[in-house]
Parts: sequence; structure tokens; C-alpha cells
Amino acid sequence: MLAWFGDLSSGLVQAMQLAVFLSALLGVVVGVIIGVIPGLGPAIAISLAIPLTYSLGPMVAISFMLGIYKGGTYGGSISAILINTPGTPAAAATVLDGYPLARQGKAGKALDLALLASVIGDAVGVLILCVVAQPVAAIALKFGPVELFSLLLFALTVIATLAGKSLLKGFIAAGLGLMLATVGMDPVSGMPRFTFDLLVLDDGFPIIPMVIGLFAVAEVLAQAERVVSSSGGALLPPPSSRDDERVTRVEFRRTLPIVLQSSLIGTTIGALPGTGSTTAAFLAYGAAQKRSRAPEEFGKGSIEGVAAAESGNNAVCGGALIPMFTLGIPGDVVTAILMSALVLHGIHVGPLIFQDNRAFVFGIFAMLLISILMLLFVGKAAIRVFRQLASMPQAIIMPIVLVLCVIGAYSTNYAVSDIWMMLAFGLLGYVMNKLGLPLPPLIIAFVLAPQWEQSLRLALLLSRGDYTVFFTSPISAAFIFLAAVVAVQVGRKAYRGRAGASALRGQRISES
Amino acid sequence: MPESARVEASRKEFRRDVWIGAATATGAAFYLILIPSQTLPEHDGFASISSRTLPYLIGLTVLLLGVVLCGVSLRRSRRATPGGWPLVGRQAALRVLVYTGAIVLYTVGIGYLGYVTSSVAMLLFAMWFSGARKRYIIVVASIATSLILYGFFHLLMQIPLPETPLY
Repeated sequence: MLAWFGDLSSGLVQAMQLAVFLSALLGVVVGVIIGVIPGLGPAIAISLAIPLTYSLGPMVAISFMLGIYKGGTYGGSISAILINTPGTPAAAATVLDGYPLARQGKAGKALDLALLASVIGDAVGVLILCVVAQPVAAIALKFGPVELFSLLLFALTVIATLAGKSLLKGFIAAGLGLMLATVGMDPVSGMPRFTFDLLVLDDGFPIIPMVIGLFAVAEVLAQAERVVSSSGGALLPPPSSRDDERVTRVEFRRTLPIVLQSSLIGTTIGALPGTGSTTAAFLAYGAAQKRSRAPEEFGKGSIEGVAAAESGNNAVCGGALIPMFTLGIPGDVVTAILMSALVLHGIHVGPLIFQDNRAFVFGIFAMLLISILMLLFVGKAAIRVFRQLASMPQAIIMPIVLVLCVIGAYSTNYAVSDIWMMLAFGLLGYVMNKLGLPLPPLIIAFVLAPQWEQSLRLALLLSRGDYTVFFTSPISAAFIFLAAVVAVQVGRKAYRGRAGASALRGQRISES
Repeated sequence: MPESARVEASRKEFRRDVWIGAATATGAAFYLILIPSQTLPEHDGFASISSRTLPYLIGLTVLLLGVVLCGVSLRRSRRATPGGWPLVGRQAALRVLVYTGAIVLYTVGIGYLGYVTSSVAMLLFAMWFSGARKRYIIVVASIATSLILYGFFHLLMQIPLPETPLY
């Protein structure tokens, strides 16, 4: 323990060097800006930053890139709340309650809460990384395809809790998401499936144009239905009181348990290789709705919803670094890119990193701890700048959002086909909104399906077709049990709702 | 929507759900029909699972869901009060179609006229279409936005934009 403190103190000395400090700060600033812009994201920004950092020392270079990772993960929430456009796929969960809050004149509250939740989520993730990286990595190593399948099955049942008013429509939306996920390469055999011999579909539907289309373009089309009055028509209504511009103490205390719960979920999901911040954000959101005393508010402007989504997705940053540092296994796409950057700078991650590069690792830990505060201050400044958007005329801002979405979608693969896909999903999102089909189940199902299928088939390959393997593994059995509990609870709730409606109808008839 | 109108909207809503259910079931049936031609039959070494397993499961489930939604909504619509609200008015639908057409032309234009030119044209149209009337602001905002986005994405982020006959 003393040795650990000693190493961390040495790490702090490294992290407080001017070059390291400034590079981390610059990384957070760049990350937030990149995160706000739909279509870009920490992965692209870090990839572009790698060649820029060749001549820098490893500590400075990695600090810059980790700063981008943190800032980029948070930045997506700003555009999600203000213009219904998730800057990153993970921010799609923030849109669900962030934008409705903004439409109620509470954009300031939503942004403030998103920042606080992000900072706390980040802090929890980093603390767990610093203190228990090795034991957590050992647990993560126990997650094979069997356990991953059951975890994702549990995550898919959480979809049922996000179905909104109609459970059937929620399941239909999830089914549509699963169908869309089957387009592209089969995850096990690598052969094309439902591609209709179109090269552009070989990799399936890209997530970024899909999310931008379903949320942002659908909103742009919805707003195109009417002419905005030229004399007024600000993008968002102004706040009706000072409390609408910030999080009050009561609200913070109310959301703190949800934030902590979501942070733990995010860190755990981040520590599992192959999952990512999108899965973490939606799982945390679903778990928060189940725990909430007012679950019916979710999707309509619940502060708990915003808090859960943001803390969940930011906690992934720390969590994803756990398997990367300790096992040499990337937790998500961004850490995969970070690993390649580390190799370029002569740092080889894996079980021996604590022996071979201990000082470097603790330097990084210290820098991550310091950058928690950087995120808070940079986030506050970013909110002040971007909030001005809320008072700008809608007729000017929404077309700008549209062209931003177009180039954001194009930036994914530098292909015009992604713009067409974005438009197609925009129309789909518009129609789904009109018909009352919820979007979250579609997105969650789409994100989880490939890995779920891959886990299932790999698990059966390893067990030679024996399905009981899902019940003989304790971790897997636990998740299947949890999934069954959720399914039963949802079914009972739906049955009680229908019985209540019938009783009410009967009462009205007898009264009339 | 007033409370009385919300209650009266039920029958139309349920009938809409009948159509949603029917469309879902039809789409799922079409998906199931496509599976043999769009997937390979090879099994993963075991008879029980292949690349067709999940698509079949999904297709059958969604087909069932569509049929159930159809049936449930049909039954409820018979008991619901008549009347209802249209989803989208005719004028609103026309505006959405026009806007979509403009986005299509914009996307095509990126490949022929270049990003900046197409973006300026799209912004000019979209701002006017949305209700902005101050010409000076529309023109300045359109040009400035296009140039800033071009500078940021193409020059700073090094994202290659489509080559065009113009530039």
C-alpha cells in the first residue's frame, strides 16, 4: 500500500510537469470540441493526433490522446442536449432526456448535470483503474463468449424497459434493430449476409450515420413541417427561472445514487473487451429507469436519465484502460488506437507493464486524476460558449445542423454512401417518431446484436453444441437469471397496466 | 391536444397501429423469404446453428409481433371512440417532401459542384424555407458556415472531400 502511494506521488510529479499538464489540457479542449461535432469522435481525433505526436515524449503524447478521449466522450452530450444530435453514438442515450429537457427551457440544467455526471463517472472509472486495475482485469479475463452472451442477453432484456407506452411497439423496434444488424459480414464465418451484392453494405450499416440520421435528421425533418415565425423562433425556449439554468442541490442529491450506480456499470462494461461506451450508456440508462421512483418521466426530460447516460458513458474511459494496461487487450475502439500509439512510443502494454514501465503507468494514472478537474473546468467553459446556440433563431440553426450532419456522416468513411444512409435513417426516424415506435430499442439491439450473435456461436463452438454451458457457468447463469427477472417484471407491469385501463373504462361506462 | 380530442383520437390511433402491425408482418415475411438467398447455409460445425439461425429467429419473432399488434389494435379500435387526428397535415407532409428533395439534390450536388458551393446553396434554400427572412443574415450565415466547415474538416482534419469537375 505504501509502495502504491509512493509510486502515485512520483507519478504526480511527472504529471505536473508543464509539458504533460498542458498537453493533457489541450487534449481535453480538443476532445470536447471534436465530441460536439457529430460524425467525429475521440477515435478519429486520436488517430489524427498520432502522427502529430511522433516527436513528443511518450508521457506528453499519451496525455494528449487520453485528454482527447475524455473530452470527446463528454463533448457528445452538448450537441445531444442542444440540437438533438448525438456527437458520439454513446450520447444517443443522453438525447433521450437531454433534448426534451432543453425543449422545456432547461438546457442549462441538462448541460450542467451532464457535466457533473460525466466528471463523477470519469472520477469513479479512473479511481477504480488506479486502485484495483489488476484484480478487475483478472475478473474481466473470466468473461469468455459464454459469459458475454448472457451479459448481452441481459442487456437486451433491458430494452423492454425502454419501450415507452407500448411494449409491442418497443419489441418491434428492437426487432427492426436486430434485422438491420444482420446486414453485412457474418461475425463468425466472415461471409456477406443481406448485402444484395452491394459493396457498400459489406461492412453493414455504419453506426454514426445511423445515429445522426435517426435523431438529428429526423428532428430537422420534423421542424421542416412548419415555417418558423421570423420575429421569434429561438432554437430553444428560454429558462423560466434561475433554477432551470443549473442543477440545484436537491436535484444533485437525488441523482447522486444513480450517478454512482451508472459509473460502476460504465466502469465494468468498459473493462470488458469489445463492449463500449454506447452499451454502457444504454445499460446504465435502463438500470436507472428501473431504480427510479418516477420511471414514467424517462424519455420526457428526466434528470436521472441524463445523469445515468452521461456517468455511464464517461466511466467507460477509466474502465476501458484496465484491460488495455493490464492484459494488452483493448476495451474499445479508442483504446485499440491508443495501444498502437503506445507501441509507437516504445511502451508495450500487458501483464508486464507494471514491472517494465511502472513509473510511466503511475504517471498516466496521476495525469488521469488531475484531468478530472480539467474536464470540469473545460466543460464549464464549453457550456457557456455552446449555450449561446439556444437563443439563436431556429430557422438559421437547423439548416446549419443539417449541413454539419452531412459532413459528419461523410467523415465516417469518406464515402457519399454514408450521407445517403444518414438520410434514409433520417426518414426512418421521422416516420418512427410519427408512428410512436421508440428509437432506443432499435439502437441498443443494433449495437448489441453482432457481438451477441458472435458470443452465442463461439460459445456453442467451444462447447461442441452443448447449450447447458450457459447454465453451468456461474457468471452466465447469474445474468440469465437477472434477464428472466427483468422479463417477468416487465410482463407483470404490462399486464397490470392493461388490467387498470380495462377497470377504468368499466368505471367510466358505469358512471356515464 | 385537448383531453376530449385525445380520447376521440383513439380509434384512429388503433387503426394506424393495425397498419403498423400489418406492415411489420409483411416486412418480416419478406425478410424471411430473403434469408435463403442472402445467407450461406453452412453450419458452424453443428446442425443446430449457422449464419441463418439468428435471422430466422428474428424474422419469426417480428412476424409474430406484427400479427399480434394487428390483432390487438383491431380489437381495441372496435371498442374505441370514433374520430381522431391525422399524423401529419397535407401541407406539413408536402414541406417535408420538398425539404427531403432538397437534401437529395444537395447530396448529389456535393459530387458535381463541390462541398462549398452545394452547402451555400442548400443553406440559402433551407434557411429561407424554414422562415428566415433577413437576406443579409441568410447570405452571411450560409457562406460563413460553409467556409468554416470546409476549413475545419478538409484543411484542419484532413478529411478528403469528393473531387468535382469544378475543383
